[in-house]
Amino acid sequence: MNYAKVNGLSMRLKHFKAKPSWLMFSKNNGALFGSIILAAAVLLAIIGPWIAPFDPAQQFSSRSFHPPVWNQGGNFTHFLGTDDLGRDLLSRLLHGARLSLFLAGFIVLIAAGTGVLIGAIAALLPPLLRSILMRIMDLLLSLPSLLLAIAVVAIIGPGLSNAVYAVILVLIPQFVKLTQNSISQELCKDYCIAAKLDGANSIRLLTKHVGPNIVPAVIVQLTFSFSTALLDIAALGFLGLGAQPPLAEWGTMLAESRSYIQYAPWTMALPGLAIFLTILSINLVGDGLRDALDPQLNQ
Amino acid sequence: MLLSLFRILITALVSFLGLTILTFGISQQATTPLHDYQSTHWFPQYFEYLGYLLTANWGNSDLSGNDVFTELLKHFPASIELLSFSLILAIFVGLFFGIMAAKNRGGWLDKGLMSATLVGYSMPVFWWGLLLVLFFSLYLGISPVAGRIDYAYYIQPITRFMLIDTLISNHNYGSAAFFNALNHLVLPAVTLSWIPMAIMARMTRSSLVNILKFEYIRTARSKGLPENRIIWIHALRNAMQSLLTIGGLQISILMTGLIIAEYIFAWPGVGSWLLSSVSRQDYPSIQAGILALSSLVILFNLMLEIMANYLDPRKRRPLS
Repeated sequence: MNYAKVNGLSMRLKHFKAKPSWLMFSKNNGALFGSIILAAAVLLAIIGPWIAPFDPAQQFSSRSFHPPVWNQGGNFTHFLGTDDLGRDLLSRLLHGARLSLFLAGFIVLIAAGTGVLIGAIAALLPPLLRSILMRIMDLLLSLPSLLLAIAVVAIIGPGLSNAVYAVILVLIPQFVKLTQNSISQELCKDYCIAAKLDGANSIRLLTKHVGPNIVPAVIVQLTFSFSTALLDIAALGFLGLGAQPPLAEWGTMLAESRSYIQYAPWTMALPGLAIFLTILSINLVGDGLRDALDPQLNQ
Repeated sequence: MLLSLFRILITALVSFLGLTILTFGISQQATTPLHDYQSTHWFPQYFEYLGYLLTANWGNSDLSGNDVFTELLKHFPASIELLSFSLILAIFVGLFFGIMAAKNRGGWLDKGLMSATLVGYSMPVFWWGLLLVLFFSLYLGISPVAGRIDYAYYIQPITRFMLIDTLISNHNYGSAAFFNALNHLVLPAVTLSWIPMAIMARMTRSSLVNILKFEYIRTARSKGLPENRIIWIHALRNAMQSLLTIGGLQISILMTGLIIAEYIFAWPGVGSWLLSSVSRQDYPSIQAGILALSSLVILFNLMLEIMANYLDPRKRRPLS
């Protein structure tokens, strides 16, 4: 057993050589740029509601469609202007940041936890059951995530919490597939055979030996799923199936602005820009992480 | 070859069966049962449901009472028209930009194009559509905001593909109707082909850059073949395989874009029909919409598999 512990430790050390991965990541300009934007977005999501100048639902009826500061007639009271009901856009965006980022984080963590668990169990199943399970996952993966989410929302009804459940369900297959694939690849390798010969049972094999080796792949998948989750929640909000007005959610704000894009283009431009920058930064970070952590995945 | 074709067909069939289980679940939500089932238990009912699906009896809408399948057929051509136009746009423009970038590897054109594609694939479709509407329709005024053709034109639906109908049906608008329909098509198509185009360009570039290092390319160069022939005939043929592998992803992105673009541009296709059915909780229609769009994805994947099989003999393995 002592050997196994040492083996597990050395495996972990081998794959978490922090320095080279970090060096690769920090040399990648795009990834650095992305992580700066992402860090700023996360920071704003955390402190946003405290620094927001107004309540996001407060309506200044005399000041609807107040232009942002760089437009003619704009002033610093409403830095980014107001929307059709005179609600302060900056405050709504900051509250929306917390909502969108926290929800996406929550969704991804739940989906990853469930997916990895199912994937690990699938790796232990007999081949026939496993292949049936994987066929189901393949089907779910081949369908567009938004279409599936719409199907789920159609069954359980629209609304933010239902949209969250839908996106969680949609993201789970990605993690199942990834975990199962990586585990079955790792199980063929010499160190796993050695551990098996050493008497490790399958639980121990998965948690102590294989587990640490699939973490990089799961982390990379986490970032990409994070962007899918954010985008799907915003898209469902935009289509009127997710968050409902007056909630300050970026996709819902975009949907509300649709009727006024000619009079007040900023009400459309700013929430969209927020979504776009967040997605861009996550994708850049994800690309950088993939190159740094998992060179095999990078084709 | 035949055996592997059989394997691919079986996989697609299994996917389709899985899909029908999902839509059967949705159809169970309808207020009145979709069909007159003989049995009471859901399991034999499912097989009866499959039978009804195959005989094009997809139930009646909860609200209008219309036959769902006829409704679907009314909306389907509009979606196909938009989808195929976008697909062609994404493939050819993406290929073109990818090749341009690979040719000028490391140059400013390459860097510029690759940054543009990076921005392109992070663009949320719904925001991109609104930006295009704002710029081209409201600011420049050169493109219509919504619909398939101006109300000034009345075109008798024959095939329900607007581009074809404007050409073959009897009307006295001349070619103006065709160009009006084309003008309506461009903005939604650009909206939804944007992300696939960016991915296509990136993939084309990266696989071409790899392939251009191969020795057979050097041989072709030293034979004195023109550069265009080397890239378009020799290199691209090998790049096709890696491009086909991302095809499934592209279809799924296109389909997501289709639903959103139809919603933004009030395009009377299956996507917007599905969304309005969801908001009206018209489960028979939801079932039909999801079944149609997902079957389209499965069909596309099937075609991709067969093409990959044709291009790469190593993939022609029998049942596994």
